[in-house]
Amino acid sequence: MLSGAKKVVSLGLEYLALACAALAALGLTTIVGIIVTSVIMRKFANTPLHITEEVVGLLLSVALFLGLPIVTLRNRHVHVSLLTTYVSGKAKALVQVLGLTVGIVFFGWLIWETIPWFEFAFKRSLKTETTRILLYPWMALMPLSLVITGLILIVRLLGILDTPTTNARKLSAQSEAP
Amino acid sequence: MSLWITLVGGVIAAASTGVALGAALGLTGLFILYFFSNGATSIAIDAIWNVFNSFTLSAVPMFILLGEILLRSGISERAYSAFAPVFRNIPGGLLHTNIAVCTLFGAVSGSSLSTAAAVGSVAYPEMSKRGYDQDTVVGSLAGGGTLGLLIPPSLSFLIYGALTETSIGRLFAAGIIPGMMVGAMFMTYLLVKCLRNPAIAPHDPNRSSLLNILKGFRHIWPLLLLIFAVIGSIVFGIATPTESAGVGVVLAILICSVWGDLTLSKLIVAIYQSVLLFTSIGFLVLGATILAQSVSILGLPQQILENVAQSGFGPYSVLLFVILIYLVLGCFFDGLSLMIMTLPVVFPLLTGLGFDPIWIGVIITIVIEIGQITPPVGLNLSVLTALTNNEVTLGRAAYATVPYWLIHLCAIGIITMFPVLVLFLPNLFF
Repeated sequence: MLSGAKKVVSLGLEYLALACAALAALGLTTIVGIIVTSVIMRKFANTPLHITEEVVGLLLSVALFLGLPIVTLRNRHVHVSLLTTYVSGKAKALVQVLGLTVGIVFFGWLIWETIPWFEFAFKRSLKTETTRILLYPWMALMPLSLVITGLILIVRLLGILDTPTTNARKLSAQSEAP
Repeated sequence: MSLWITLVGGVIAAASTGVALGAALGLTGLFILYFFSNGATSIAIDAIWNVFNSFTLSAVPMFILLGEILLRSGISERAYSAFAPVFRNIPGGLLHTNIAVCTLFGAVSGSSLSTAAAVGSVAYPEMSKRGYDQDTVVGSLAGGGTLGLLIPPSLSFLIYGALTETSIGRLFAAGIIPGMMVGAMFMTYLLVKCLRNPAIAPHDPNRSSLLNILKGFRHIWPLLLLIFAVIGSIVFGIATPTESAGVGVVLAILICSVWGDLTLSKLIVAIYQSVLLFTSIGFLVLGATILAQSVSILGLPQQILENVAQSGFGPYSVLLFVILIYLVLGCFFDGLSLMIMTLPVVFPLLTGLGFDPIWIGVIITIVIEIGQITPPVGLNLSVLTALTNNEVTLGRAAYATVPYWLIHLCAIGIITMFPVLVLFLPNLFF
């Protein structure tokens, strides 16, 4: 029963993080599309796209915040692994718990700070300066992704999700090698 | 004093737990804002939002994507085949090819790691088979790979420019001469090494005619076109770095589909990997932004500047001290992380002492290149050790890259004595 619940939680987070990553990838490809369209319009039709700078900026934050859960889930963050590499046994477990706690405190603090920040934009229906795009749907992605990322860390601290043990950047480097 | 203890102690204590470095920096920044700035933590969120709503910074994921596409489309093999006959009859042979192809690949990929991985995956198996000294091969690839950060387009220049509001076009132009110079110094070192000990690189009895060499280059013209489109459009002021990156990605997809072996599935993998890499770098920028906000609101860089001015040290003594700190920190942090976390203090300090911001950008990039090949965290070494299936251990790879480490230091000395090497092209084009 308990293992079934654990599986549901870990699978749910995995799919949620993957869905976020897919949206982040969509954001990245849309940036490319908008920029290329803007260049073509400016060079060949002499009518630059006035939305480019603001939409690209918003999409960049989309790509970053929606990428956070998967990067955390796969442990692909840049981190200093000297201590975690050289300790073992209980000491290693303690350092890992400390690391997860530090991460949870950081994300928790950020989530706490984003609530009034988001409320402010929502209540006043803030818009971008030039293109008048409503900002709060985009801004909502920051607390949303922080909550999912924080959840991943909490679930990992509770032992429901495994912690990938390999040095994240080394793993990344190796996976880049064809 | 207690502020300094919180700043340095907070970063060290949090980072040593193995938490994401961005979280360690950000949490320290939040603590400083809370305890030393009357609880002004809310400004951290505004700072994050403003930094990531940046048109300029959007060039970063696109240049990452450009590098990923090239990495996965087998183009490095063609470039390698084209350059191999050029250096066939020079002592060192394919070792020079490694440096030349790294220079070429660096001109389309902004990442040192991608450059080392792409060229290393082609070069190492071939050169091992031909009897080249394995350590020397890995050394040349690790050293050559660092050129990816110095030769434009460079992730280091993009992030430096976006964080310090320095012209990225001028930074790109500034990296060209030092990049070529360091590449030439690498080749000279290899030439001297192989003349002293010919066993390192077996002599190839086949001679290449000029016609054959030119025929080889016929096969890489699309890559040359891509380089010209990406760098040329920025340096000649035709496009912004972001526009150039966007068009570069589309051109790379077209070229690699028609001329390389890029498939839809490889493209999807490239996009996914780009999201992962961009997010991991972006999260670091996020943490550094909070920390930068906390130290700047308290006027810490100005305090350091005043203390330095009162201490009687000259600008060059301070520069030397900064470089030494970077070299030590390079043992523990990878290059970009090091730059992002130190810029909030180092940039105002050095510009305050009268150094040119463009020149500082190039110097910092060279110093962080050294970090890429400094163990235990040198990422170029890790990726190449993995590529050799541990035939060359991390320790042997690190020892083999010591000369490249020294060449970088030598380059810093030359650029400090002759800043015109850095500033000539930016002043010419902008």
